[in-house]
Amino acid sequence: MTTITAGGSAHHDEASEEHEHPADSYYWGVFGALALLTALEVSTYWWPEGWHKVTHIALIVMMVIKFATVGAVFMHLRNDAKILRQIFVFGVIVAIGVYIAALGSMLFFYDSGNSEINYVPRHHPMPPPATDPPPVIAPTHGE
Amino acid sequence: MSETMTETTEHATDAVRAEASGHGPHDAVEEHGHGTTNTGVSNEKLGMWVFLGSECLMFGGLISTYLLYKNRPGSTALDTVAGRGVHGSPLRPSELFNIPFTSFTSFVLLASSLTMVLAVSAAHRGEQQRTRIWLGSTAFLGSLFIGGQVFEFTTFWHRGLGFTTNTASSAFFTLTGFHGVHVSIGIVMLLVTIMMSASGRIPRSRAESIEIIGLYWHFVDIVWILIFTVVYLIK
Repeated sequence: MTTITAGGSAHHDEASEEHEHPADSYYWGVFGALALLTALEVSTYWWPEGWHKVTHIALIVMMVIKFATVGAVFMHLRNDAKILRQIFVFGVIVAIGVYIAALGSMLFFYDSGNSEINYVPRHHPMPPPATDPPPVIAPTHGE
Repeated sequence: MSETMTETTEHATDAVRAEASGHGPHDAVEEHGHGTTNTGVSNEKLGMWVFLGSECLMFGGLISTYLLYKNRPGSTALDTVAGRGVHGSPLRPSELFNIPFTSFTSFVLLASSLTMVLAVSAAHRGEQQRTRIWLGSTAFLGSLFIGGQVFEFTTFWHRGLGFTTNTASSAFFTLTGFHGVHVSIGIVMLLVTIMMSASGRIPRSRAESIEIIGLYWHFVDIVWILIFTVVYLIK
């Protein structure tokens, strides 16, 4: 009986936690920060071509910050039950792992097709497509 | 036999909790909108999070496929079957991107996340009218985003890039199209919720149902954050 009550009160605390919502002004503030970050992201499109490595790193960092902020604040993962955070983070980590492995197995990190990153020139280019029509087999007449 | 015992124990647990909090068992259910579960989270909410976790894998697959093909616009299976040669059009989707326009639609989707969280907040406070206004705003901003996507797809089509033009275009349209379908489903869910709220079928005690739709909507926004950076901005 005591165990039930203790477990019950623990669950009640967790459940009541999910009903705590910050003031609306807080959400407006977070949105302002996200909008600024988006503007900064867009501005990278016009950064000099030679900065592409810096640009890529900056874009990925900003993307991760925006992803985490929307998840933590707007989806309430920061204040919600721990199990929800675990489920979502598990899904994200599995997805990242599986597709990094898949891209790696298809040599994406060796030759992405982008000469600015890791283009590997081909010494033996693919042959041009065959343009000859298929051979016509003459009909055989029965003897 | 053991199932009956488990059920009895669960009922006893609810009764003990209700007594401890000074409410009757019915009040406890009314307060949270669902019965108590082992995890402390309603089954509906848990189910939505599991669904979103699995959606990460689906969008991960689509994004990876685009990354593989975006610089290699080869032929599609349809080209090969139709005997149109093994090399498709060399036109890449990235050559046609209109970054200022897509930035605007991305900003619109981000703003819809704000209106959605404000709707959830208002629903938890029991402000029905305000909840409907924010939900309507979210649906409107979502429709604006979809309109932008339709405009973008139409522009690409007129400039010679269709779904079967090459593998890069197939991967691009599949990825962004799937995302668009998700946004459209979200808009339908929002409109149904507004109608249910207007008919008084979503009282304050069931505010969690709006929160669950909000989770779906925010996830769609999160996926676009990834797509916008990986597909549009990283050259």
